[in-house]
Amino acid sequence: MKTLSYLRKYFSCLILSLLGLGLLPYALADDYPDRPIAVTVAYSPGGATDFQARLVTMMAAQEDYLTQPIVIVNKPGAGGQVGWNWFAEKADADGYQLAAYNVPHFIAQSIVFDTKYSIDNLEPIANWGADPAVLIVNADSEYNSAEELVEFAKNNPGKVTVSGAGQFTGHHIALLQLAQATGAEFQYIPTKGGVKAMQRVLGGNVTAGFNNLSDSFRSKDKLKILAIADLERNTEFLPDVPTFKELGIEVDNSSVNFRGIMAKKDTPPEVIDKLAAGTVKMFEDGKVAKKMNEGGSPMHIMSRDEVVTMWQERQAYLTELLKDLKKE
Amino acid sequence: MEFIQYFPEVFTFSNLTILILGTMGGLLLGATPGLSPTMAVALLIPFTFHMQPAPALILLGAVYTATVAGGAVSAILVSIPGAPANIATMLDGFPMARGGKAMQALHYCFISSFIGGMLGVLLLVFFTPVLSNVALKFGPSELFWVAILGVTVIGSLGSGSVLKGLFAGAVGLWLSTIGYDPILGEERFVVTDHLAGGITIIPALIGLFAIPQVLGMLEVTEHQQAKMLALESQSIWQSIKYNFSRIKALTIGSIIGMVVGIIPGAGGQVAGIVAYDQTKKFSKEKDSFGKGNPDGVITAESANNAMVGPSLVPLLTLSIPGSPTAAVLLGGLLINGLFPGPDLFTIHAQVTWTFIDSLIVAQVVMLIFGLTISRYCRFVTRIPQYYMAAAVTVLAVFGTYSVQNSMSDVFVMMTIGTLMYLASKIGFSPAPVVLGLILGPIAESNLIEGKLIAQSGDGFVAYFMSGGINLTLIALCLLSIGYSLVTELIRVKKSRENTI
Amino acid sequence: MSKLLIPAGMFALALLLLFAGLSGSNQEAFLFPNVVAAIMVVIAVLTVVNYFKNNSTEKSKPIPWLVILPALLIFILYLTFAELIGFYVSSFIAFTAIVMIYMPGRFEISRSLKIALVGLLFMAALYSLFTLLLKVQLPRGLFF
Repeated sequence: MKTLSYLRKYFSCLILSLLGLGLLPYALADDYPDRPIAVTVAYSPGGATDFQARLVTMMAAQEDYLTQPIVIVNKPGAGGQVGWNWFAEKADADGYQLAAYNVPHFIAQSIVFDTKYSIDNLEPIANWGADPAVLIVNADSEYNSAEELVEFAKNNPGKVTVSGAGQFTGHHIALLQLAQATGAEFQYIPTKGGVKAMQRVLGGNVTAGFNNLSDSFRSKDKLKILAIADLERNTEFLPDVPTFKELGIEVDNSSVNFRGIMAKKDTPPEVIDKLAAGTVKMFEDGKVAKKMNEGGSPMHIMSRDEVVTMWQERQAYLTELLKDLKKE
Repeated sequence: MEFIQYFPEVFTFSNLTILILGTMGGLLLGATPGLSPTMAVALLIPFTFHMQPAPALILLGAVYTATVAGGAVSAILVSIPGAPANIATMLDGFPMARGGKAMQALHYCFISSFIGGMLGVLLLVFFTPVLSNVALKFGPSELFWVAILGVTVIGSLGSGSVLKGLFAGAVGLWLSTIGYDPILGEERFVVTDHLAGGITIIPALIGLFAIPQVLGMLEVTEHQQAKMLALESQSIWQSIKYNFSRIKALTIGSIIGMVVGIIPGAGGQVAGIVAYDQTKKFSKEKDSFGKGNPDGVITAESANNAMVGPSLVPLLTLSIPGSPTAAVLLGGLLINGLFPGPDLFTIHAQVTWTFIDSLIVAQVVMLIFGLTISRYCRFVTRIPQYYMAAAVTVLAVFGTYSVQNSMSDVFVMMTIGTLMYLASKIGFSPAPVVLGLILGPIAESNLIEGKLIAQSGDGFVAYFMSGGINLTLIALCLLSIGYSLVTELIRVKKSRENTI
Repeated sequence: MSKLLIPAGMFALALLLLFAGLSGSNQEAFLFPNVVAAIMVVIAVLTVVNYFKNNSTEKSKPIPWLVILPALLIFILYLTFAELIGFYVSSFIAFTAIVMIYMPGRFEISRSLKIALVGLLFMAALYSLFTLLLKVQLPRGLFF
């Protein structure tokens, strides 16, 4: 009896609610994009990727760029795996859900772990930044050059601890390359994010660290920056720091952290073209460049075609480097 | 006294307008479920894009200050803590509101926030050079012990038995391990796809506190409801007088807040709870905590806001953020060309001091604005329980979804909430579970990191159990456990005597 | 006797979690959860011992299943259909359903109109906060 009265009450409410529906504003699908675009960042707010993604997408709503604002959604966890897995599996391929990528992180993870993403089910849109990894030690450290550190590590295998931002990030790749090139053995200490990894070096908890060039540059008076894992010196920020190649150590630019925006594979080609054109123009905006520069974040704009090639090169190289580490 | 000369900078018309709007907006954002202070500041960073450095930082500082207090408003009035920091505020604030003392609870909340916040900022102003290197003393082993110290607090947090409290805390710790492990990237306990992202704190927080409250409201009969709605009013002056008479709660809260703020990574999330626990332990009326004791609100809010200033010390000097929100604030500093370090107080002194001064002014604006809106809380408390329950349900779903646009989070929130409702009927409380969820990842990642470092050095025991800070922390842990056990024994003995 | 159910349940849960962890493939990754589960087992044993020694005086409150069942049902339907029919519409239905069912007194048309109006206003407030101000993209589903 009581249930019946529940039901009766309820149905009358349902009818009223459906009537009310007609009053709600209802947007019809128009030309893409007709509503804000979400960009998933696989790291937590406050990290370098999150911070840069917010900066470079700030002008999206302008008429010449994407005409609609971009909203950042953070899905952190497991060095990016949680967010990218979600994106590859659950996100809509309609151009309204995009994600920020970090190369080599996501490619390396897709090789080593059983992830739901790989370069085969993702489409790059454009690249906004490149941040090389640098080898750092505390200012009070007894090591004054990369050679000294490598020499000690060779004589004391496993005694040298090196911090970096998580598993199979650019920092980790750089250390793997260093170990492979010199034959020395290091103990990698993965931390949650680059800031933590820097803190371990500043606090003297670890022997050395690989960290972002931009962050190391900011803390340069408390650090010794020993070498840079890139093909050329960074003339703008650190003109005096040698590359590994100059020191005779075969570490190239494979660990450089490229940041950009990607979509899902099945996104309609027209949408991808529109995005690819709009985002590059947006990244090139003078205001964006100014703020990025003030924040000490190196910009490196690459078009969609360039990124496609870069992804494939990294995929080939990392498959070779990591072949012994692959987990079933 | 350098900071005084930059005050006029804050009081220009446009800067003051930004500060007032930022404070009011921050209170609103902070009161929105699911929108933590961290998210609120992150959302505002693009906003500051078109501004000059000084007003941009004033806006961020005002919002940071106000969202922390805003979370307390929703905790007190609708039992949804805006951020983990506000859990402790809710433990006594919501019972006070249910008992017709919503206005008093809000008054104490804003007054204590103000006092704690001011002390915190003053610590920042005067002791930054002295304190700047403290943050670096906390490596993996120290942070591990800090987390364990937090865990030992768990047992005495609940209102019932210490054993049940500890068990609930352990459940929280265990729940935090669901998902990928922090170092090896291994999947753990992912029984459904919805758990792949793990149990994130804000959804869990909303579920554990709001859902049992919703179901509790629906249980209430009409008769009981009439009794609860009588709202006592109290003048602001009376509140201020009373607030200052609770000097012990205020002092404990402010000191613990400041200490926790300086330790990076421990997160201001636990400042309120630790302060609450200590105040309870030092109180003569332990049983009244959790049932609407004003001391609970006073100590928790003074701790939450006392943490804001000190958490900026390692940020401004070493670019190491003391809390997740400070981490986002770092971005705000960077885009305005302010690189943390010595330059901040020399070359950029003007902008830096204007920013710090704006934190002080924001505290004042928040106090005035908060006390003014407190009287309108009757509009919320007068809402009938069935409307309230329906609104909180929908808000919980919206808030949870908006954290990371995830329906899985909403399912997790609802499931955890319903289970918590059932568990509350057999004497478990949600606070230890949340504390376990917060501390779990801190304890685990520092344990594993420390283990890796220890393996290539002197070994596990030597690494974790040497050094002044480690030993002090271990001693504090033992003290805390010992205290809990003794009080539990006394409690059992008493209840036995009563039954005989 | 039924009071023993709680400590026994705690013990069973702790054991279950411990075995779940021990059956994991890479034990290195399960170190922390297993330590926690082991501590849970110890706490549960202490609770059982405590029960027999002290004959615990703690009372548990009854669960009013009949009262909360409709609410739980609404929760389940709400979450199941939220993505399908759209966030705002399903929230509106859930909101009005809870109020209608739990509002004391008899059913009247005028009152349901009022509830629907309040629901609409509430949705409008949520829309301006979440969609307009915060630009959260909520699932639109079939309707809105």
